[in-house]
Amino acid sequence: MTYPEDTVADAINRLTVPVQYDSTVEASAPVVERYRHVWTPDIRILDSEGYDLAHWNGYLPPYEFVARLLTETAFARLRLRQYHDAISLYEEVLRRFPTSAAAAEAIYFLGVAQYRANPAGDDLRKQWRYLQSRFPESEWRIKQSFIEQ
Amino acid sequence: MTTTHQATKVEWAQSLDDAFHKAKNANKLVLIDFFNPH
Repeated sequence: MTYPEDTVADAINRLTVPVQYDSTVEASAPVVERYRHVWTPDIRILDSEGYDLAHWNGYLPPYEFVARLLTETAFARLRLRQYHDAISLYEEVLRRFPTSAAAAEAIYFLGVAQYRANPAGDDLRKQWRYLQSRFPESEWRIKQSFIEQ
Repeated sequence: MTTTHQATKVEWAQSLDDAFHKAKNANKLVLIDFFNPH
């Protein structure tokens, strides 16, 4: 199980206020319907008004779980236009979990967050060029491949 | 004298409304974990 790991619990408690719903019991039905839940594990990252800002499905072992949690909370902060918080979280992914499955996505959106924070800078192209060399086979490299032409 | 490692536990909120209230006060995001115990 993932939750008993200290690194997982630390990250969840630091970044979020978590709540669990057993999707098989009737008492959870209003929340299951509200968020159109369909398959477990299903993790949602919401703002304090209940808006779904980021989410993922499927089991992840601790190393990948924390990397994914950081990446999705970073994306939530990016959508909230809290660019410096997003940058800090994406940098944490790349510092602590550089070989995780989420790393390529973190590089892609680190460039986006840096660009949004400072549109006059060259950070977007710099991060995307790094993505090309670091994760050439990733879908996130493909998503920026138009700049390679 | 020996020391015992105190495992960190996830601090689950009691309900979604409880989580929204705590998140607003702490400038945190809310995490929902939908799970199947079977």
